[in-house]
Amino acid sequence: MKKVLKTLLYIIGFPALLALVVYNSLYVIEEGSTYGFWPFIGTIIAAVCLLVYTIVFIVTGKNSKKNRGNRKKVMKSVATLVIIAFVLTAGIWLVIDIPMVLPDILNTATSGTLGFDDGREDYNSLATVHGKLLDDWIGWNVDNGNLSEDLHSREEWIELGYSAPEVKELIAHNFKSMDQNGYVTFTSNGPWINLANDNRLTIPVLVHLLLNERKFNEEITFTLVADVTPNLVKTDAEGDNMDYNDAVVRDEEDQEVAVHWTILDMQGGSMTINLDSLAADPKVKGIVDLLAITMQPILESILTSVKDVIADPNVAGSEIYIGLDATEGHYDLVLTSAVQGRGMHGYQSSAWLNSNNLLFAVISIFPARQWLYIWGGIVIFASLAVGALRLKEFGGKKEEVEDDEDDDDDQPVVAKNPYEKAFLTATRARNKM
Amino acid sequence: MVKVRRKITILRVLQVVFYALGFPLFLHMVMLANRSTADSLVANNGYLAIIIAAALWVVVILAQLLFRAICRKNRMTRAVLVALIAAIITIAPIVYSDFVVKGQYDELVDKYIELGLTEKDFTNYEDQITNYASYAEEMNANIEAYMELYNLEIEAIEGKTYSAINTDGTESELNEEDQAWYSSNGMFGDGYLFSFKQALAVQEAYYSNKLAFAAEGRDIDQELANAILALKSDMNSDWNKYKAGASESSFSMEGFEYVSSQDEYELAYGENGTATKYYVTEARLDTILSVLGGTLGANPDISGLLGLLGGALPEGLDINALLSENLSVDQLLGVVNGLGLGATLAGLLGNEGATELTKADLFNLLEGYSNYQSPTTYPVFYFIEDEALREYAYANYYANIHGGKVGAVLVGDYVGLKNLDNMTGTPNAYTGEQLLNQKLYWEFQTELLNNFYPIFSVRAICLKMSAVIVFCIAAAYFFTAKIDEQYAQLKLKKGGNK
Repeated sequence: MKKVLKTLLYIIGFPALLALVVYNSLYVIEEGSTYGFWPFIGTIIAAVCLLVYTIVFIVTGKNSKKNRGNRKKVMKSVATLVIIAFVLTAGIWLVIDIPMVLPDILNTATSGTLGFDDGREDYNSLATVHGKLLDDWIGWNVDNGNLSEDLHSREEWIELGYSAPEVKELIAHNFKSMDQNGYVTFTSNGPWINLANDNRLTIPVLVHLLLNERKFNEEITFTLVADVTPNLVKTDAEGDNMDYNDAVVRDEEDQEVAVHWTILDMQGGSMTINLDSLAADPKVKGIVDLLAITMQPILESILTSVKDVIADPNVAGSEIYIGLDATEGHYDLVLTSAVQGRGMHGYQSSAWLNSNNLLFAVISIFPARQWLYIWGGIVIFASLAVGALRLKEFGGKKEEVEDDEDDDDDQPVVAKNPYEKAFLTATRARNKM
Repeated sequence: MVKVRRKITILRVLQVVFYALGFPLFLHMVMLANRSTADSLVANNGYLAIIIAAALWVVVILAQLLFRAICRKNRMTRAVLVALIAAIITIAPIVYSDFVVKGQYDELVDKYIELGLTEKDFTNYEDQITNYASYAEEMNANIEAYMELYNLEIEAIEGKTYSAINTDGTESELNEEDQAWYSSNGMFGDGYLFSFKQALAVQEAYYSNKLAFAAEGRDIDQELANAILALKSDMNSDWNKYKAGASESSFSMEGFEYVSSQDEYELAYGENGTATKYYVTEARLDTILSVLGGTLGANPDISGLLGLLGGALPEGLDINALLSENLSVDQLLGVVNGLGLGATLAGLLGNEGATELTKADLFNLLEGYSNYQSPTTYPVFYFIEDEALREYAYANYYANIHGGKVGAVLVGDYVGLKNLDNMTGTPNAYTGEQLLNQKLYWEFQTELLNNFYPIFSVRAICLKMSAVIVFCIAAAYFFTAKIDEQYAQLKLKKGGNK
């Protein structure tokens, strides 16, 4: 009966904890399924803890049996089991959390772009974001021909994900270009990129970032098989006006190019300037409508020339697409970066994607951490209960208490604490006098 | 024996409880009462109240030790003396506060009335003693609103830099006392985001001078523009001497020294200068216009469109001819002025009364968006002789140009962040007078926070706890005596208890 009870207590302790960690890690593992063993790190840590605990559980059990009748030694085994249960659950995380070890590692690994609190509880959302980073990236790189559909279909590429060597290699290769010929060229030019990244992209900062002289490494190239350009004039939200035009395959010798990344590329996506107040004037509205609807190809041609001006090495050195969105009765000037067409995210997301395997490892730790904390109390309780059973089974009889309950004032007394000892010593000294 | 031991245990618990209800509880209560002061965003004496409270406790402990040595046998005398000391010690802050600090508070109020605040800006001493915690919290809320308005960071209330390396590669250094990063020319570093202290200092320099000039019926902006124009146009001005690298002794400015070397201006703004790569110079603008003209001119769709619009365009304007690689600033200005639009455009750019649009107008406009003050050279306004005007010029540069870059414009009708999403900024909640008064009042409050509120916290708790402390100390002594009485009933065991 005791054996059954002990086994049951063991199971509701660490094995149940591991089951909970696995169950709560399933979503993270699924999102990062193509990153090999990295999304399993949290589960592996929990499993190692279970292994250590099980070894201690068995060894202390055997020790208790071996020292049958020696209450002190059995008690020592019980204490060991309880302490190990604490150390392997909440203890280990208190050591990591309180001196900010894990937050600091995360902060350093992501240059402060990903906070510990972002994933502490909401790790599934974080996994969704990081899983989507790769899916989107693959989609765009299939569109621009960097990932050939001759090898795999789009769905197959997404399914293969990071496990495909081509994907792994392309991510690293193209990110190097964005980093060295993008971010690094901005950081060596004063505070402007940091201001932009901190929601202080003022017009003077934008001008600085566009026009400051920067140093590029022309030997670092970027792979781009086909050009996918944004649609510069949008007049119909649901019709033929897709966000991007069809891919145009580049000449073979132009498929490895040195890209000079712009600040808008670093930010990613697009920037919209509302022109509704300008178009409130019927004359201006008439001209805009004429250009956008009746003379759309000419407007597109002009905007393409403007893009070419910006891309000239004497101006910004890389494309920024200036477009007009005239859908649903609103008028927006849209400044679109070239990143999506090139199959990249903005710099921050690209940097994450480049280290996504490590980030998935970190994300996978959060569910393990959470449940080691939550279930830690149950594990300690179970260990204590097992210990109590062992003590009863192997600990022998409890020693008699020396000080019985009689009230014989004639019995001499033994000092039981330093205060009492000091008092009695002083009394003895007084009596000798 | 067991009964005696049980009694001893109970008495010991009571002894500890009563001791804890005395000074330890007092210290804890002072910490709570002082929380609003300690949490202040600007005070630097956050722990003074706790230090005072701890010091009071230490005095009583020392008195206990002293009386233990003096009155070895008479426990009751000891208890009475210590209780007396505790009473005096806890009443002292109340007396000090009500008789000494009250006078100091009145003096402080008088000082700030002389500086420009009015009597209605202040409450009486009794109100301060009662509501000091609310005032400290209210001040924090006001400062937070101020920081938010000007897009400054509450987490960086002592200022921060987005990079200690300036755009041209030189470094800016932190001056901790000023809470600011300075370049070698004494101006703020490129990446410096104002601290609360510096933002107020810039605004004070700006508004105090502007209002002082206005009070005399003078327009400080016009006088500043005139002073700069005079420096630029007079070939013998210090500014032109500086640009030419004249010897230091030839300057009319007393004690003038170059930042680093006589040719520093040429090194920064001469051909291939260290500063010219970071803003739109005339040469840079010509290059951009040339690319623009060449690229657009080569696009047949544009030629076609211009052909269609031909009749609608002003007479004499041949855009097709303009759109070539030869397009330059001069050419563009020539066309604009030739069409008779120069005067209107110059007026729109603030140069009212001008007959044509000049390069200066154009570059004044550009300067708001693209300029670079080299960290290794003095700006032109450094050489303005009038001290007030010079101070205003620096403040104006920091508040509008530097602030405009880092997204924290400090003066004007619209302030804070001005970017593509928010071109105008946020409406300013303060007029110049209000801001100057607010600054003075915050200075007054900061003095209260540093020198008065810690005493108020201790006073408030002393008032509530003085009697409690005396009673608890007496009770602790009583229980100590009782414990000893109980021990006296214990008997020694022969040979034991070593």
